[in-house]
Amino acid sequence: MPIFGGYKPTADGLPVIKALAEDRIDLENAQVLALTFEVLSEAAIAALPAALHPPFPTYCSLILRRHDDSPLGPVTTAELRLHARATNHYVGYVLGGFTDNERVSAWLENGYGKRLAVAETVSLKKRHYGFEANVVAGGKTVLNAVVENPTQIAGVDVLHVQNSVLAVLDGAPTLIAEEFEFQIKEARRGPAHYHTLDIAAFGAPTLTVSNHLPATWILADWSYMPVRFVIDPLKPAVAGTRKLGQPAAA
Amino acid sequence: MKFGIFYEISVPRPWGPETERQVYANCIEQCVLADQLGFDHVWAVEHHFLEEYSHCPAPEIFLATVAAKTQNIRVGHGINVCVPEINHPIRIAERSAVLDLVSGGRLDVGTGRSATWTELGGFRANPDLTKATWAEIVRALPKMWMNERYAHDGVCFSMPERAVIPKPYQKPHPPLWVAVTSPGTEIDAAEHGIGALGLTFNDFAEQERRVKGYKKVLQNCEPAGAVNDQVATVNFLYCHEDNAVGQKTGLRLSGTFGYAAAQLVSAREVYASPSYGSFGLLPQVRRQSAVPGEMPGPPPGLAVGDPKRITEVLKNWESTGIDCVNFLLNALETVPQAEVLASMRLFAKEVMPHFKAPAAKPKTPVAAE
Repeated sequence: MPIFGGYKPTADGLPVIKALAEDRIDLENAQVLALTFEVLSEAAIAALPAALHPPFPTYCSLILRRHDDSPLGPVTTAELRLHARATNHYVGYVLGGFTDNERVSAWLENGYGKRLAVAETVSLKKRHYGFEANVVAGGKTVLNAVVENPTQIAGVDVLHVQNSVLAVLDGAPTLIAEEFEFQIKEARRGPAHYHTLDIAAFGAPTLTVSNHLPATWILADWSYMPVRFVIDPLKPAVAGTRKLGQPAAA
Repeated sequence: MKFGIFYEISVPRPWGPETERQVYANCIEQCVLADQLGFDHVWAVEHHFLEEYSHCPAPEIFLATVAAKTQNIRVGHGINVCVPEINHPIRIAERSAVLDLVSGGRLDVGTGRSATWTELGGFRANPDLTKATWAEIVRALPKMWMNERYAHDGVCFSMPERAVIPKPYQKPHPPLWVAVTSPGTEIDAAEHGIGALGLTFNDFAEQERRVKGYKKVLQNCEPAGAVNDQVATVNFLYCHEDNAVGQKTGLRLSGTFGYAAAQLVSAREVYASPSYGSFGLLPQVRRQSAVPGEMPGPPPGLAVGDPKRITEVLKNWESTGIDCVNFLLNALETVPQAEVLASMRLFAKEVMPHFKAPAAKPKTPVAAE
């Protein structure tokens, strides 16, 4: 049997969900940059909730998502995810991140339990050579990466898996399934070069980057979906997954 | 229709000092029995780093051991990863020739390119290039075997003129195959005049469509070497007198396999590339294994249950035009060894006779010089 994560969370310090997201929000022409890298496995397994299986190699993706327009105004987010399996489903377990929009930060925390700190700069820019990602928080640059000379690829080749967010729901630590839908209009891939990559600032103080993979950038119509599933982080997902509106398993 | 057995050699955690040795011993015992029972092939994969799912990085050694303990069963290296960072093509040719010699001409040579980032990334191989390296290597191998000396100046490797020795026992060379996981690879197989070693679980209609496409293209192929026009597919096998018991255990076997497979990191998962347009083996097993060890019911093509059901299932497969079914007998040792052996015996006694003469014929290799 595949091994499980070693983290058994308590409610202490976790975001508290006031009302789960119930509305679908459709946003056109999102830019999404995925910076992907392997991390050493021992600490990664320890950081994953006990409900989830680690893949091997253990790896993370740092996702920057830029919406030039949204009901809450323009926003860019940057979130670090440790990849895992909930039973046999891919998920990106969110470790932490930043946003440049205070209202969006509150909306994500209230609706999905995803805590993205408000930072001075969270930016994803198209440059003549490709793309540049920047995050400055607390006066310190925690991410500066460039993707140079990315080549065009087919949108069908790019994957973005759903998020799994740890928060407190009804008084108990709970993994929230933050689901997306997207239609890719353009996709590119290229090597990422990092001037600064401070994953500790993104909520991963114990993880160590061990191997970099190519980055992808997409232009897509992006939809944030209502929450449909939650998982008990202390039980294997096969036993602890609950569809909302249905009672929890004994 | 021929029958083979197929090994990933999966090893369940926890890994004690005896765990891997015992799993290998079980597999070898199954191979010896398969030989006695008249199975035609034993195939062993080449996988690297795939924890629990496959601890079989050196199938040539496993297969040499099997060959030494058996008389008739063919040994299939299924597959050699044709990626230079993992296997230099000269070493593939050399190892294959030696295995063919020591097995008395019983070798089948599978080829492929790996579908996981775990493996490709581990060897720092570029997923974008593996289709090209496979195509180059699969055309070079027969020449290394057939030509007294060989030189190569290609994209993925080059070599000055050398005698690649020894030469295989089978002439002109052992049958060549390619692993078929992604749709369309069977057409690549046909274009090269090599066998299609199916490693996914299609439905009957899809399999029939693929076999037809393969046979059609084969007529106009540009053979890499001697034409091998066989199509094989893979299945699970658990045969029991009681159909309900057979199905239940068989579903546990296939579900366990699928659940282990779902934890692999496919190349496509992290490396966006047209070279890996599909997840290969994984999507179907993922669909069928949302719960470890359990599935809602046996799919119509799964060879689990009592002999009557399995015979009917395999007759359906035979009607699709395939030449061989290779069976996975266990996964993560979820089925006790004694039950695996009993399943094989019952299958050989009650099912095999519906498809072939019960007495196994010694395989006579094509006459060696």
